[in-house]
Amino acid sequence: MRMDALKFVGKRLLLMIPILIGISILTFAISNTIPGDPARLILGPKATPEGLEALREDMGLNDPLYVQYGRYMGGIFQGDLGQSTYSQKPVSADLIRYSPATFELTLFAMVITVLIGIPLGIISASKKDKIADQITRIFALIGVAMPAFWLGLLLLLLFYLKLGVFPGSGRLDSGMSPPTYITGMYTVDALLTGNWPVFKAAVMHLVLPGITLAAITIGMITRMTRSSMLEVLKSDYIRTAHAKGAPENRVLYGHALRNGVMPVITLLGMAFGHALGGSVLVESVFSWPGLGRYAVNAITYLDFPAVMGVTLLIAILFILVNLIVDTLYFFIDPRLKHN
Amino acid sequence: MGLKNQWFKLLMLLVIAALILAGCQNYSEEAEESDSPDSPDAAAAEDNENFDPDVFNFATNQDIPHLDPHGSAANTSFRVTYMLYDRLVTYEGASTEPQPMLAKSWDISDDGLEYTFHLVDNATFHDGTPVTAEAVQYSFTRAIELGKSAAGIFNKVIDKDSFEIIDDHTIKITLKTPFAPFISTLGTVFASILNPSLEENHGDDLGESFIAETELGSGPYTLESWDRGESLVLKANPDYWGEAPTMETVNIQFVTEASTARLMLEKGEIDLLDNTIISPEVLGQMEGTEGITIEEATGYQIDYMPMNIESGALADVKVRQAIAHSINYDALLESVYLGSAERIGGAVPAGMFGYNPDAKMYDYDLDKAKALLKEAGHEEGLSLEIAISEDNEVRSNTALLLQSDLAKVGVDLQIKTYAWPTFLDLVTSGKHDFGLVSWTPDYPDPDYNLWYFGHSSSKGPGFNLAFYENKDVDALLEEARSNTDEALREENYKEIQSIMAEEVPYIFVAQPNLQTPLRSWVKGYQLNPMNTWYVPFNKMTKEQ
Repeated sequence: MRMDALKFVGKRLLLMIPILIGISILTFAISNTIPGDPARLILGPKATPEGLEALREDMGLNDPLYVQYGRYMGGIFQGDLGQSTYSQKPVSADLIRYSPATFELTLFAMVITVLIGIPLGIISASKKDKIADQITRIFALIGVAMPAFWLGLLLLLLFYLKLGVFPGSGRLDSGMSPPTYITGMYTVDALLTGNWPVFKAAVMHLVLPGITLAAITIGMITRMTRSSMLEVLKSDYIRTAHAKGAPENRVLYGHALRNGVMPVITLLGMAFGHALGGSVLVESVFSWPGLGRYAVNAITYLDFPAVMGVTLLIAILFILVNLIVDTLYFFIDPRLKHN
Repeated sequence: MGLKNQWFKLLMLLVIAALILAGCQNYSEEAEESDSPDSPDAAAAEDNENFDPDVFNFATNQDIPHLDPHGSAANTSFRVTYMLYDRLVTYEGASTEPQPMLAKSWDISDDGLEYTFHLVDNATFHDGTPVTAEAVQYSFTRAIELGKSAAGIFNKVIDKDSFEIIDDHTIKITLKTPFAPFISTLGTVFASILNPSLEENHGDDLGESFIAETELGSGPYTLESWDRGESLVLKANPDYWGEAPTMETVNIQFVTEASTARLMLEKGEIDLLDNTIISPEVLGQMEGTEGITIEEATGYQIDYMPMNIESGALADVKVRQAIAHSINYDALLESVYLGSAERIGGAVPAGMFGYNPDAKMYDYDLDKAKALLKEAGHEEGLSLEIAISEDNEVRSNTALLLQSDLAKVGVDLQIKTYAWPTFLDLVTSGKHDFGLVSWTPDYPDPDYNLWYFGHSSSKGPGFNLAFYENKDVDALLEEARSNTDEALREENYKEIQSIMAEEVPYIFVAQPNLQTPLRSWVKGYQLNPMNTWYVPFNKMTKEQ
């Protein structure tokens, strides 16, 4: 089985290469079809025509698109993601700086998703058509259907403006300095260095954006858990378990969950990707200085190297997470061990 | 059974959670009260917990791209670099007259070509090295060589051979051609003096990436920290050679949502808001909130509508005049700007040298407009497009008003909203009929606006968005730029405004007042009509 798993992982990793090349071509083509002149955006409206032309030449914008793409990919294979025209820093340095905030937010949202989504789904399935089920289903539906930025604004209105219980913007209270840099995720770093005030502030700041980001994924996971559990609960072995008098909790969490959770794990991988993408909107609403904000700035300034960098990073993460999820099957599903 | 028990526990948990939230209701009442002007304002109370006399909290919704003063075109960078760096001359408070800074005095030769600057001898960079004539030469040479925003201002006037170091604290700059507004340009951010030690870190980009997130200045503030997208902190420079800065710490926060920023101001977490992020309408709502003052001043910003002369019907001056006659200006100023704006007739804002109060202003006269359209052969009406950039309430409201005004004379106006990069590309490449743009000059000389708007060499990318061309105007502009006779220059500029008013390549919709909401405890804040981004952190204090 170990060999199988390794082979599987290896194959999937190899498959990443054509996928990433495909994504890079698409992103490059799409971002270059946006009408606009990056040189003009760098120089501002008050630039001189000669200055513009010189900068365009300097940035290689006068070359045909495929030449520009070739130059970009040539750089990538040497580990050079190019220089951001917006921040004037190497894109790789920018990604390293902005991504911890996004990872922290996304991971937090995923933890909320798992902690709330799966139990809600189980409850919903075990109480099928009862009031608890109906309420859960309504909430799941709202979560999936509500646009993230709208939900974010509503939460801000209630919990920041009206109730004042959670802060409304940024990662820490103003004037507070971030914890010593270890991972760049403030909660983790604060824990590691035992910096409790910062930890508390960081968690408080995570709550509203975290819930906003998790709303959709909770909805997805709850619905999936419910339907998958319903399927399993109908099967013969559950009836047998009931018949031999096993306690209901044991049937539900011992027998049914293990099978019922399989498709949910696959969906968690997708949900992670969804949350990463969703962070673009959520970060704008909550002034969260992460990849999403960086990407929005990059697009506004037609900063192509930065746009490419963010897209590729998210694509790689998405593929890797799904790979991890799929590999998990080897450990959760005993059937795969014997095939 | 067990399951039911768990249900009960879960329900209890929810009830407890609800109670905790309800317990926070006290805070909520505070927050609500501060919203309504009638009730005692908690935030403005004597002992507002957020009041700190040594820390100034400023909020903006625009991220800072980088801190290279020679390479940035972003106002949000200017605000910071103006404090980190010194210049030969500077603009202070609400004044648009350049004041001595690193240069304590200067002499100008009679032909207007040679400028000799006498530098102060006690100025030092933040690393302790003295600011010398060599630093001045280095800074301008780098700015020009870099070829970015700063070069746009200087490269027609000076080049790398323009400098002669006379001694450590005296430098002579010889212009390639007389350029009357030269001293004014030296007060802009682009003329910041950098520590020549940057040369050691030039790399292959003249130190651009090195200096993007650090500073090598001699200004009243030093850069303490910068968490990108979150906050940037300035610390008072204890060894500043000039007048000691008043605010010990300046905390510039990035708050993307304007409504959140407003809320933070009302709670006292923010002392001053970026003047561009609050619309006139919301400002109106904020008026009267205790603890908050709205600072208002005339500005040099002009909001205008270029009419692309190279596009179809607008090539005919009669059509352009008809458009000018069909706009209800009073209604526009009243309903869009809520009365805090003036009308002007030309590209030079009122209050600036060279402003022509007699430039023709078209009256709102639908009959005249219809007659002109008929003469031009458009009595059956015509269809035109106006391009605007998104996310600006004033401009979208203006466009809507224009749409309904023009409909009355049979012009069907389509409003097209674009993202900023697309908008910029569209109007500079001439694919528009009308546009709507706001513009503030970088230095207080009519040459600035008129050259951009009126000179034929500025067509398109040079921001002559009307693609206007008039040989007389070109000649008048060139003569005025290269002449030091103020009377002649003023005469020329006034004449240009009159000519352009007749030919109407642009309609100058409004010269809006500048408005900024701030905590009443802030003392010493002034709005500069030109440098609207300028916040004198080094001169302000906070007093309850």
